[in-house]
Amino acid sequence: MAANAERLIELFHAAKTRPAGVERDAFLRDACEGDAGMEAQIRSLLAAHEEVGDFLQARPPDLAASLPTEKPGDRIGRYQLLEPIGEGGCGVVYLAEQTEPVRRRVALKVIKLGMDTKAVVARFEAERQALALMDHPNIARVLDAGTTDEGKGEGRRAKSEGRVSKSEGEGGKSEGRVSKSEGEGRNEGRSSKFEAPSPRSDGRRPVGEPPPSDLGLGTLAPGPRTSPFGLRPSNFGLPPSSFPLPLASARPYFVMELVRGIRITEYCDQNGLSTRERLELFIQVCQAVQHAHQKGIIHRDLKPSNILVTSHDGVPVPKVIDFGIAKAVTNQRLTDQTVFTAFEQFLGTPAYMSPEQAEMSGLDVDTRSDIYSLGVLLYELLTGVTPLDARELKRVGLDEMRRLIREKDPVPPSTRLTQEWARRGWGSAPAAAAVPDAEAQGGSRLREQIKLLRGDLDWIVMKCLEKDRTRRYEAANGLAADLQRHLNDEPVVARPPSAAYRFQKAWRRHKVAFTAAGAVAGSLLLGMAVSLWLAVRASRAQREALVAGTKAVAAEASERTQRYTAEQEKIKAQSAQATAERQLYAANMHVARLAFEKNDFARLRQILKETADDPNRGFEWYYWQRQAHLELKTLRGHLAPVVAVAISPDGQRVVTGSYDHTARVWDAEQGAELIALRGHDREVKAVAFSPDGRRIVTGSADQTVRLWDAVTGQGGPTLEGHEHWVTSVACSPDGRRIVSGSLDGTARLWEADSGRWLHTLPHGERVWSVAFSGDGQWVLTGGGDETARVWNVNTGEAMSPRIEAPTARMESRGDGRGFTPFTAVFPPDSRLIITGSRDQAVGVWERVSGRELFRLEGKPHWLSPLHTDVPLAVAVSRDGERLVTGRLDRTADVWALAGRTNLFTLRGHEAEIAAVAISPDGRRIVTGSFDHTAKIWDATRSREALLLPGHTKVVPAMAYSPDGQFLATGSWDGTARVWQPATGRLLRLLPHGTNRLWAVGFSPDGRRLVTGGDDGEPVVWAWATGAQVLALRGATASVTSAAFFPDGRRILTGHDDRIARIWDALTGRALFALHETEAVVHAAVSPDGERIVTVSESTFVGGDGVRRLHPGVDGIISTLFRGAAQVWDAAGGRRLFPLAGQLGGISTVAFSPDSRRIVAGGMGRTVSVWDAATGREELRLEGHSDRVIFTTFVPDGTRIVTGGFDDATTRVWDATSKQELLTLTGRLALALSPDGRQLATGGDPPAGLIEIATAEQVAAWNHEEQAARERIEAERQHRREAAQRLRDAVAGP
Amino acid sequence: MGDVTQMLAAIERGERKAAADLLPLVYDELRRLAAHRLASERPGQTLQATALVHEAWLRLVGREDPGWGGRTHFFAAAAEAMRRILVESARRKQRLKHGGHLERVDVEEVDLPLPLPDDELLALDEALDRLEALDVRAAQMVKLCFFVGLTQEQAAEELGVSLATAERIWSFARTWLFREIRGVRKEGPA
Repeated sequence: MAANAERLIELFHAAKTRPAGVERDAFLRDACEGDAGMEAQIRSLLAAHEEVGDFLQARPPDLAASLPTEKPGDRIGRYQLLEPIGEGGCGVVYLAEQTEPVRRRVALKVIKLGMDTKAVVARFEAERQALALMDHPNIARVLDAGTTDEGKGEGRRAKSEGRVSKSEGEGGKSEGRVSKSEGEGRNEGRSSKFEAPSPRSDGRRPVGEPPPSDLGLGTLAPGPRTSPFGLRPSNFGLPPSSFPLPLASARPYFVMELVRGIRITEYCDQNGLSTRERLELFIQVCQAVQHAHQKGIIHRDLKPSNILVTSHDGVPVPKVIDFGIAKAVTNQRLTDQTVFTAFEQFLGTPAYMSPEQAEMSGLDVDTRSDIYSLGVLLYELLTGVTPLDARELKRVGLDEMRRLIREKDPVPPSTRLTQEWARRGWGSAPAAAAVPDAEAQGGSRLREQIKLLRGDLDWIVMKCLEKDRTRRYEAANGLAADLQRHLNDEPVVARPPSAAYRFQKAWRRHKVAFTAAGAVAGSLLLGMAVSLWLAVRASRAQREALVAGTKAVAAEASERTQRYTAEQEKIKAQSAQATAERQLYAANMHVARLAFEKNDFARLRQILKETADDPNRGFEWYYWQRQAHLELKTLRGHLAPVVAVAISPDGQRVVTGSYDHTARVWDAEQGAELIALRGHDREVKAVAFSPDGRRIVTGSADQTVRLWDAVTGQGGPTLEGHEHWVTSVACSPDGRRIVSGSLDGTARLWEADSGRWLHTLPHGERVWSVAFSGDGQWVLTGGGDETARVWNVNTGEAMSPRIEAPTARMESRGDGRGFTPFTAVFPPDSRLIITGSRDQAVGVWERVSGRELFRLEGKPHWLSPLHTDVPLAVAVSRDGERLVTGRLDRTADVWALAGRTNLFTLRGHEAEIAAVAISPDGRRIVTGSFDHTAKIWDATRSREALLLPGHTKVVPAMAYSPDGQFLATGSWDGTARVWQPATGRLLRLLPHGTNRLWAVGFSPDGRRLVTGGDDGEPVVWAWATGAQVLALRGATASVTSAAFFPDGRRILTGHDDRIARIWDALTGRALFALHETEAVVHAAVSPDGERIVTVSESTFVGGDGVRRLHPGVDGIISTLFRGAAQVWDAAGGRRLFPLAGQLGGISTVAFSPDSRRIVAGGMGRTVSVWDAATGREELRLEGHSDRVIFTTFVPDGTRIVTGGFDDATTRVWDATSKQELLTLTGRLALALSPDGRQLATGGDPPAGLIEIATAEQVAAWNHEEQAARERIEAERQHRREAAQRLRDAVAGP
Repeated sequence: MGDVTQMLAAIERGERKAAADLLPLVYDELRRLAAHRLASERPGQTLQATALVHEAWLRLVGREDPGWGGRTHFFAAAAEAMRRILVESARRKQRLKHGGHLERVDVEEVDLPLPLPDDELLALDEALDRLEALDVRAAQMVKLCFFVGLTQEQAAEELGVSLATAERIWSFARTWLFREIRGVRKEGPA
């Protein structure tokens, strides 16, 4: 059958290429030799081929494939896409037509999605100038670059478009033969030239037009690798008003001179070029590379597919393409992440990669890396293969490949061919007597070639391939010159000069002089010549040295120029780079938020890791660090998913069971691994502590239950008997019995001490969970038939009722019945039974009657019907009040059973949660997950924010004491409270009165607090005792703001009657007043105590201002807000200058910590920053949708925090670039702690505190994770070695 | 899950048990990934089956390059797993179309979008077995290129043939399958 098939395929292919009609028929008849069946087959296939179109042709596996991509006919900027002509590792190349200013055909490469557009273009721009200056007949110019935004692409004009390649023209016919094979680049699913995409449906090219060649699309390294758990951001349905995220739909594109040619290696082979001819071609390539190097451009990706040969009037012209693109697209630091992509393992053709590139250590790649690649090319041109076997490099893993490139020394070209000679079985010495077979099969040619290569060419090639780059040619010119010398039979530099060597050269040059006829004379002459040479050697050597020296100086000079140019470019690029990097960072922070909202913690952590060294990071970065570590401890050490957890009765230890065949015991406080229980042969699926905490029970897929000493880890009895996986275990409250449940449909009761089997409880269907009742009298089994049954412990009899989940009545979906996991647990009083079923819902039933009391609906998960090995994890607290459920969406919920309310959610796992447990004291929850870890959580509250309960009405005022130890809140409920922000503990309640409080402020020593409200009379308290020390009398208008001066001797209050007042802090005497034109909304003192700024706002009609529309009772109301801001001298109350710009009314104002800037926000939806000395507006932040009620700088001055009252959001901005770096919805920040680590949020009660991580915490987490990684890797290594030893032992001697 | 790499190495060594374990692992991973993607993407967005396989690769194997042999085993398992998943989806669709039992429709449940109409996909599934009987490499090409999403060159490397040969096999396989399925279409769904 197989032989037939091969022939069938061959004939089909051959017939397909022949034109339909007479020729094809004739061919078929001949080829099938009368086999009518075969002929019929082929004909029917040919008929089908007419219509097959692109059946089964998949689009290239693009990880962001959901976004629109370009098609032929589209316009990008000034270019009209005609047809795709190839695909590389980083993008697609189209044949395109440029319409203006010149009409011509070009090649347009669009970099594929997943690259960071702005960064790529920025990097390209950095080199643009130099690229435009390149003008060489052997370099294909990059003409233009841009991004595929709508309307863009017009901006850039290609500079100096002088030189247009001769090979272009309408419908260009290529003089040279066109190759069939693709470049190194990745092909589309649409395969070869024969199926090349064209408007025709039959896939055939219009007759007469040769297929445009692929441009040898290199496989260039893409941008950062996508994470294992998510994709690059595509479109998250952001509202358009959100900040300008560089959407991935804008991609970079490059326009290049269209080159119609074939790869240099193929050109040479197809046209049978001699070695000399190949060298001549190669020298041109060197010259091109030299030209580029002098302009400071390094190619970085030289290989045959990037060097095309076109034909001009029969003369081959090599052209190097893709200059400048590799660098733009590649990350500066080639890390593991950047060169990997799905399946493509190592982008960039490893065979051509220089050792320093393969190093990927961030070592700067310079011109000599290109020299190496040229050396590889030369090697291939001379021998037909690359120095390191390309296939072998791809075959071994990445590390090995890198090692080979770095360390393995290739054999010289002539030796390689000699090996080939030997491989063909012609002996080991080609120079020896001719072997008849060899002659016949081209052996003489091989022999000739070996002779040719031996010597100079060997040396030249090897000098290019030196691992140590300082030993290579410094410049491509040097390489070219040496080759030229070789062609001229002159001594080459590559070789160390020796007398015999020189003589050899002389002999060749002057062969005519040394004829065979004059052999004797010749030999004499030879002798003389040699001695002559030797005699003259000294001076010759000196001269050579001089020449070499001059060359060295020249080389150095050129290198200096190169470096200088590079420096210039670098400086120019740096500022562009900096902006690009800042934007990149902002985008990353945005993605972090989205990842958090989707519970994608792997992605969040990955982004944090990627930005860990970013100099732009700040407040928001630490915020996300905190959010990524909400758990108390993460237990790392397992090598596979953790599917079972249990907490010891004293709450001190946790045991986890995992697919890695082990169970491990951990210290619950420190999170350290104490013991590993090894012994099971398969996955551990269940764990439990005995009630005295001295023993641990484990159940495994190896069908056994094992007992262990919880302290020493010693294995105890192994309980056998189950006939399928053990899925659950439990200990009776008196510690005397153990029950285990298994997929064999039974649960078994055992005696705990002896391991003796007592009863079998025949549930009937696979048993997924078992539990004892609180009094130890009953056992509960939960089965795959989604029923829960109760059994008498002593007799083993089933009791009524049998509980059936509603989903049990549904028809199963495809798989057999009984396959669905189902959990059932007893709460302690055993009055109820709680079940978790496949629809992710929790059911609560009455045990006695079997009646369902209520359900807690979960979110049905797409996977849940099919997911066969993970039931919904459920655990109940000992007091029966709380319930924890662990979900497939990676979160766990904590519920209050009584009120059936969701208290809070535990987030942080990177994969599905498989098991949960609550500690006996109810203070800790442990979750086990498919992300190989278990996490310990605070069971009492969520750590996302610390709540400050107590106020009953809106909290509009919050302030920290200067040392950050205390936080004061003021509320409309008439009270002020003082808290300890570190713990959230309430310290003191101050009953201001029955009216609304609007303002609170601490004295510098933190001992006094001033509060102000609607009655207009601020009160000063010694808050620790709760005593009122002062009442500031004199005003009746509502107090809008209140603060102490930095020296503590005066108090500043703002009032509704347009007057800001300054009071003596000790006596309460009014000192002076500042009269504003509008209602003073807020007043602040600069940290240096020199200045006061007041901001005001009113709703007068008429004049300038910001008009706001809002719905009123009778329709839409239009309100005019007018505002003003003034800076005053703090000593005497003299008005200094106004702040210009914010017209809409200002609600909040603050000084920067250095007193040099003022930030304020208000109705205009914007936040403005002014210079505090001159009043000049420096910048404006846009983004809030309504009134900004709070604003401040963070302590280091790099960020501005704002709180918006009506949209209840808090935003953090970069104070220089104005980018919004963090948005927290639902929280209104009203104060920032002095150390910048905590935000106090208010508005609707309860108030709260949000913390960000400190650098120390981050370092500690990183350290922990790193240590865990090392431990795990060590264990993996250990296991690998053990397996290897086992294998060796089995293999035997 | 670095253990997948171990598993692949084990398969290389010829341990049959490892091979049996690999498929369900890959299968689970693919379904899980599909679920994640579907849950987080907006409804209506396309989900490429081949993209899932790529993602599964990254997740299961990632940086620990198992080398050429290991890759081959993974691809084989992935192709088979993806094929099953798609066929399951297609069958489910068929049942619904032909009036299957009224199942409770979960708001969240979204079927994996099929690259072909469901009846064609089922026909392809059967035809693929026949193709395998005719020429093993042709069937392998289809599995690698269509279910796993490899490019021609990658598939060529996997099969150990030249690119030109691979292209020929692929062209033949597509045409052959097309012919078989078109025959089915003409006759109507089975």
